Amino acid sequence: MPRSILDDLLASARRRSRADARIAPLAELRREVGRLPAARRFEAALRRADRVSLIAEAKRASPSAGAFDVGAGSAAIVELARGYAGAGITALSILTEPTRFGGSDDDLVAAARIGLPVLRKDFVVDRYGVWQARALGADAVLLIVRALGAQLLARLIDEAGQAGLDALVEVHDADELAVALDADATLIGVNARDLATLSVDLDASLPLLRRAADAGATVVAESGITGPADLGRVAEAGAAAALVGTSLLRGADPAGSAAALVRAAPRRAAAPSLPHPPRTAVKACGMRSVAGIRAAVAADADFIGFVLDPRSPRAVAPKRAAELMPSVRGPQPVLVFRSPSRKEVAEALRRTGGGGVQLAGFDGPPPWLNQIAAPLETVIGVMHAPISVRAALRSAEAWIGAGATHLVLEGAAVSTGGGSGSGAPIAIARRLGRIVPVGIAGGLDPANVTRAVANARPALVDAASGLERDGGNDPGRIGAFVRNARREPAGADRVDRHGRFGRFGGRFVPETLIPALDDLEAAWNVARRDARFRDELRRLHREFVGRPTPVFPIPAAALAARGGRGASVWLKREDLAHTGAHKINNAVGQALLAQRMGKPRVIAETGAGQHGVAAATACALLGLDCVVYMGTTDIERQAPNVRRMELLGAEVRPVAAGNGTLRDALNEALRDWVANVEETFYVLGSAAGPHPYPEMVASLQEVIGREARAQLHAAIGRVPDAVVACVGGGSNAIGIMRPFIDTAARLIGVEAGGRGEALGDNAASLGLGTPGVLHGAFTMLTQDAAGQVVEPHSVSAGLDYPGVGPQLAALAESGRLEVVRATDAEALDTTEWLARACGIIPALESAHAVAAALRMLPELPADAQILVNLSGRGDKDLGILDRAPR
Amino acid sequence: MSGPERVRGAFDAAASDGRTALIAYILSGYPTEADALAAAEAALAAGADLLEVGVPFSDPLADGPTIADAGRISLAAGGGLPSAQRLVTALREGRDAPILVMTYLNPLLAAGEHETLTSLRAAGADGLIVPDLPAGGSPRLERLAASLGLAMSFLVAPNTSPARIVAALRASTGFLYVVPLLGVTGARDRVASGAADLLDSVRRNAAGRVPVAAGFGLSTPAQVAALAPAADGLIIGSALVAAMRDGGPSRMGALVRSLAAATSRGVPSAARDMRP
Repeated sequence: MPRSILDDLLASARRRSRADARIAPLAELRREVGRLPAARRFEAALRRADRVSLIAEAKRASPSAGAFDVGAGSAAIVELARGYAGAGITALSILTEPTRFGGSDDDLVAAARIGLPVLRKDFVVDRYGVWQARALGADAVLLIVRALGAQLLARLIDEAGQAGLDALVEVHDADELAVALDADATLIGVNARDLATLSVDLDASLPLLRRAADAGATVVAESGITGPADLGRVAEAGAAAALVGTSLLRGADPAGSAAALVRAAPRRAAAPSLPHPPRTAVKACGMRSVAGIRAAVAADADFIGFVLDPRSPRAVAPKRAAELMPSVRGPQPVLVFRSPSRKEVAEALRRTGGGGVQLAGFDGPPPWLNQIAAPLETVIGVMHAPISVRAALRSAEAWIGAGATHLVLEGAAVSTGGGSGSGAPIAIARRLGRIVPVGIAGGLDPANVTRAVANARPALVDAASGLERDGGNDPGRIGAFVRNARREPAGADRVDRHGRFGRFGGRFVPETLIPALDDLEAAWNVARRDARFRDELRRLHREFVGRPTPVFPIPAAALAARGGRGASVWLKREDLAHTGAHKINNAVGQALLAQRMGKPRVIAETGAGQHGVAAATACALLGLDCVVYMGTTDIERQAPNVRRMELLGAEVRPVAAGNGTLRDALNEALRDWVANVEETFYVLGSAAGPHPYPEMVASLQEVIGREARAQLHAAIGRVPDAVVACVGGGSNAIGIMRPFIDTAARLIGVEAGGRGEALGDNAASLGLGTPGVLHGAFTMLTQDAAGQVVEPHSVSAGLDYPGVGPQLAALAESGRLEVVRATDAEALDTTEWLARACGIIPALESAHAVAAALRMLPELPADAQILVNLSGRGDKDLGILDRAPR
Repeated sequence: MSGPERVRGAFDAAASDGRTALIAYILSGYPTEADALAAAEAALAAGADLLEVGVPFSDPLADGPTIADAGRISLAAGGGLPSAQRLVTALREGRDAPILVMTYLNPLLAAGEHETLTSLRAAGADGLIVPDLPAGGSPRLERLAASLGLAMSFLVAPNTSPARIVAALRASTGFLYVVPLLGVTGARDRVASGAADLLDSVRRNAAGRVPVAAGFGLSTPAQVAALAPAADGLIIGSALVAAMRDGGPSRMGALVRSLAAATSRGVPSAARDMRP
């Protein structure tokens, strides 16, 4: 476009940044981004595809083409984008430039929810624009060389890396390409349109495409692709993808045109890749003592490294490694070499019986690697910093092609700061890690590993000297390193001072409740550190609740009949706790706190009645008045529990409002609390609600997981492979899972799949819901597009809640928690099955978790150990079992 | 004219008339969109100085049975934020009275706060009242509202600490909403004792920086007359919704008229305006 139009656009972009920064300052955006899970992989998707990818653009106008037939309001953009998605495109490009392209930030926010990788297409000229792109939900941002110049380009590429975004660097001629390559761009867009004249010349851009591809970049052809023939030509010239907008929007059916291009997309050589692991793996290296290995095993490290490089101060001879090998039970043993010969490696493997190798000191995979790699479980290829990202990418793909299972970038003194340029290993690892999973090593220790993980989000962290003390392995440092490496970058594993887990949680309640919540938080913080409070709670656990509850393995024969191949399934018997469910752990703790605070009156809400019974039980024990709010629908389906509450001296108040279920009871309990806040303690039954409830309830229920971890350690000598629990509000799930967050165990939450996936047919807020505010917390909800909460469904009353505890929402968003569903039918069947298989009638809620564990059986190896929280017993559900249609 | 300016103007006009301002709450979409519009027009004609347009929500935990039940009826008839926005648009045409949208936080977030606040402003809303958003609970939302010219009004209750009252004062660009009793919305027979004292103390704190209005539980002219000297404005909510339920817009309009007649303070305003 004429110089002045580009100038106008850049000036407008600067103004927008300044105006937006007044509402959302940069520091706030950075904090927000820090709470988000990793962005979707834009560049990786293009690089790995075996066909040329289509990036389809949504905009309302352009300086060259004029206005398109796209309505105002982001709903129109979303409709267009959904059409593209249905056509099979790989990624979206969304214009946020308002003055000439009719774009808006809201369009980006809305389109990002669709699920495809999204590019922010705008004239970004500053750091603000980059961080804002990420905060708005983009996975990649456009940086135009012509607009930025070499210095600013390099800085913004680094900012994009810090923000966790891919940078699509746009060039038009050879000079600009040189600048982009110099700045170590890996994703380059070649624009066939001359921004000075607005004219498009596809032919002229082909040699540039070729040059960029030969330099090792992932290349996107922009502009000028009007049909399959053009697509073929850019593909032949080395483009991995084509960004198409105007030619789609000019036609009557943009989605249809996109589909035609997708169908015509030529094949290409997909870059070799590895799957990105859900979590950072931890390798404790330089092990040379039994004590050190034991510490690594106890901390549940993923890998243990024996350094066989004779020049290293931590070297062990193959003979010694062979002696130590039997102590390695759980983590993968890895023999670590530096520039070895093939013979050396083969010999060492034979002598030690090891199943993994790590090869450093090479400039890419040694030629003999693929001859020895096949039988090995683990092959770690090490790349050495300093190295450009493009060169590292080349090297990484070569390693993968030769058989590497893991990659590590090793640099002296890994910097944990923001990184001032592309030289800092952490910055390289961060950018590289967006495309291929890569670990980091060099200078890591227990003190800096959490920040390093938060910064680089590496696939693996590796330390050796950082685990030493006085010239030997230090068990304390080893344990601390593993734990600190697993601290959730988004803060999902602990609450911050604003009551947030990641971006979820908080305290969204009427002002009248703020003083009560402040008092509660203060009292709880003091009580939980008070030895007398803890001792009294422990005594009540022991003498009143009946803790510890046992863990019990389902008989092997029964599992075999369900397709098990030898895996063990351990049930944590919370059904044996007094009152028959885990709810008592929380009720007793909160009632004790109420007594300590001098509150004479306790209120509670209840769904299935289990929490109501637990609250009434605890109040009877401690001499507190108890009022339980219960929905009329629930009263009808759980009559025995109502009777129990009344027998225990509680007053049950029916709530007929709404659907007469748990959420209506919760609303009414909150209303009561608003009106009677000075003398009333609200015993909230689940890990939901305003801060401090989610944190307090999780702390009180953690006894489940702590006991189970110790019990399994005694029984099987290690941490289980997976911890499975049903998720309604989430208290039993967070209770059993929290002590395992810093281990390698998978965490699997099973939601109520009800009778189907349609809104209102299930209670799957994590799996099928959207973020929103309910009952004081920002969390995931089953709600409609207008923000009205929709009544969920489950055959089990205890899972029938439209929200979920915010910590579980944060763990799910960060990927730490896997979320699955079990249907009503599965839960009912499993209840009967478990009763016959081992004489335990589970609560319908818990049956969901057992059902999911059974589903996993055929895929689990023979030595797998699964822990399932049997959160309650099923006596209360006999009526439902009888009545249920099957 | 920005929302805050319009709101201030309405309070100032009532004050120079020797009255406390009357703020009428209309639940949008109740029992139908057309009825709600008629009710809002009737309230303005009957002497309401400001309007609160309520948005029904599936889980109205700050509302008592009158408004909660009405909310359910409104939702069933298709009510919600979009319908409330239409009501604002229809009312805005050619009218100066400030129109504030009262909604829980979740419906505001559903389509994105930026998009939602922008379209509410474009529809002509002058401000927002969000009962489950404490002052400082979302600095982003407050800044966004300020940049769009939407007034924010935060609530304080008898148990609110002095520090929180200051926070609410700082964050409120419309008026400070004093709830002079502990509880949810709902008409009461007697004004809670201590209401006048609470109002006095809050107004002293406010020192004219922002008007102070009281609500929750007011239903009769006697109550209005009793509190008029102590408050810059009085909010009538459940009583109006109950009147709608029992006798439609005309009954509601009659109630507004009788309440408006009781707002006189008997003293002209100049001496009361302590604005610097």
